[in-house]
Amino acid sequence: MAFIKPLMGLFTPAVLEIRISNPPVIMSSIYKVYANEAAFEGKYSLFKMLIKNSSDVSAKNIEISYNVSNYIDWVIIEKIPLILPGQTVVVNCYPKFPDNIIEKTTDSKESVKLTVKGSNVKTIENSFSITVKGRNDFMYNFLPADEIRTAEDYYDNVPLLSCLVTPNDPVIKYLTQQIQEKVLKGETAGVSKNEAECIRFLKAVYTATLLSHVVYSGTTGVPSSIDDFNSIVQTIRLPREVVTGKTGLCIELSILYASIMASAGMDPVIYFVPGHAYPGFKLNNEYYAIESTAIGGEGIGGSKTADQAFDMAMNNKASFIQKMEEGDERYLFLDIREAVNKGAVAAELKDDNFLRHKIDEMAASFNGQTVQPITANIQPNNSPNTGKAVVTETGPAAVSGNAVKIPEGYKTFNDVVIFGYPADWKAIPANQYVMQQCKYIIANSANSATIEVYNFPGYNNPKQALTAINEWQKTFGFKLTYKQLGQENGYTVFKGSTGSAGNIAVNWIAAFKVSGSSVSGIIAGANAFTGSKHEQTLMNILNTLQ
Amino acid sequence: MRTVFAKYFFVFFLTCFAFVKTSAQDETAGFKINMELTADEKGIVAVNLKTKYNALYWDRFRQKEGRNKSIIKNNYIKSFVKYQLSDFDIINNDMEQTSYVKFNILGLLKLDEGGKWIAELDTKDPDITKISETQFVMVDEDLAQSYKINLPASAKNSKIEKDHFGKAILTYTATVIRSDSATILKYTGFLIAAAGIFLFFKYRFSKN
Repeated sequence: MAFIKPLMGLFTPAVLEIRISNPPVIMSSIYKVYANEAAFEGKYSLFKMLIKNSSDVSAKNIEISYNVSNYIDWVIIEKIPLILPGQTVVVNCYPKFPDNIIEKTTDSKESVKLTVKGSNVKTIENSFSITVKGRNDFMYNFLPADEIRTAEDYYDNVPLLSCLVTPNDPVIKYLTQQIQEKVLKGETAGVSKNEAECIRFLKAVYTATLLSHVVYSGTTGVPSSIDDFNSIVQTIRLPREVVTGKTGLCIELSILYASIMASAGMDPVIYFVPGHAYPGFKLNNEYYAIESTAIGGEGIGGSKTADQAFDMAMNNKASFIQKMEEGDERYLFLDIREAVNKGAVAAELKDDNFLRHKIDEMAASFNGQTVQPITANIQPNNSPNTGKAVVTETGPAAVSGNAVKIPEGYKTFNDVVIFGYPADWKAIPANQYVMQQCKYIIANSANSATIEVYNFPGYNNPKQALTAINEWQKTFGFKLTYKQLGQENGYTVFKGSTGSAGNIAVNWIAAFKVSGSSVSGIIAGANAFTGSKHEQTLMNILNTLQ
Repeated sequence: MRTVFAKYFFVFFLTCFAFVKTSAQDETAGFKINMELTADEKGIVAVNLKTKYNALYWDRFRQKEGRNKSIIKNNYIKSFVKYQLSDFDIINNDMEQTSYVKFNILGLLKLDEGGKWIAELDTKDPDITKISETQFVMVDEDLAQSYKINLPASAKNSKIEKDHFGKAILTYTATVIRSDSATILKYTGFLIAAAGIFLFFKYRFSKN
């Protein structure tokens, strides 16, 4: 009788149970992600179907097909030769939407129909409806609101913003060429990977948006908290729309900058902080930023210069990194090339003569405005205090006294103290963290390494200087930790760090000496996240001190 | 199952270190993973994972994801997004500073028309050692991880192969329990043979 059961199987069909799960919407701007099974390890599918054979009979030659109204005709997703009794298979559907879906500007409700057929199973038909969003609607996550627990959950879809970064858009390529030609008068940022050149490019993009009267329009921004369900869907225009529309949200401007930088061969990044985003780039594991919304507009208090916008963002970036290191998941960082490598590929956009004409009109305002290479000498008038520092040309240069040799490629600073510093470093303005006795700050272009020049009238001991700086830093929650290394060339040398709540923010070396009725000297430091990268440079600076 | 390994490491990386800035060496010194994957005859893969932490890392783990089992569960689900995970059992033992996680993966193993089970490894050169027809292991001393894959007792011809795209796949054949035409054909074959013999003898007898 053992063969009775299999014999019955000839006549008894297998029974399949199916269960379907699908995202709440389809975002048309990421249609290339849906089509790529390998993108984000298959995370973004139209649906996932569980098929369980709940009978005692094997199901054979199973074929699963589907269609999407108005977009995709019937397609077979998968053929499964055999499903054993009790076996469960999982089928993921990665739909290939047509390229023209990117032209969609409004929502529509579409129906997805699917069938499961087999040699010995009763055909199963199923369907569900789904909203296909317009190209400008971006949803920060696909999770049900009551399942969002962490900021990481909330911002789950942020890598998909790379799909809106369009370096290959012919209109953006054309704009990039115009900036390269008319604002930069030639550039090598993408090929030379030179820090100064890349910063010049970043500032040129800012200058170009400023000159073409693009203004910041802060309507609905990046969500500011994980219970901010009103902005879980945000309208984000494509870069070509931002340029020609001449207004941009923070995230739109960030995506525009990223598109132009990627078009020029750079590695763009976007920083996200609660309620805001700003662009930048990555170079040799160093990160740079600019406050793209500092273009402001006449109606909202005017605009900042490119240098100011860069300095603002670089200052903000330091606190951004600190927050990120503390584990605050609301501080996100999107590396565009990394996201593209994972599959967040931009849509195919067609050339458009009308938009090119608009770019031509904008480019007409670029003429005569250039962003100079960053080789200018230090300008003491921009420094915190209006001092009278004497700056010589790029070294080597012998100075009076002990005639310490200034290394090649260094400039000489001569004021309350004399020292050499890299020729491409420059003076930066003071911020609220700097005490009055700090006369100058000289920094590298990334502001990740600085020299602070101090003069303390009435002091007679170098230790007093550090005690005073420590007291000042305490008012901001920071503390100095240091030890005295010894005496060198008349200076007392200290090595230490500045930090808060156990986290080191800056590592530094200081040298102070008594000079007449005051104590003067320098603190040369680098942000802790740069590691030992600037160590040698700081030592070089210290060795030139006299 | 390199995919699986990588995903576990990914999950644990998220789980353990999102809050900490440490060197790679420190990261691996803080815990030890033992994982066992056992495939049954219906293609269900049972995962049994034990992670023992040192005191510092245990506190960090408990401070973040470890305080809420649903976060741990969701992290695993996110990491195996193409498959279906079921039957979770998560135990965090403070006394042993150890986390025990069990769940099943559905859909990871696929059966082809030839009766061969296939698991995609998503890598070109998996560092897996075959111990027997039913067992594979991988030990990564640098990362303090050990993995064991158990195939069904009836598994044969188990090996690492390459698919059409050059990606490594783990394949094996196993006894398939199925009440279907293959069995039917076997019985039908017996019947036809019996009928043939009957007809043969009948013919011979009638001729005689």
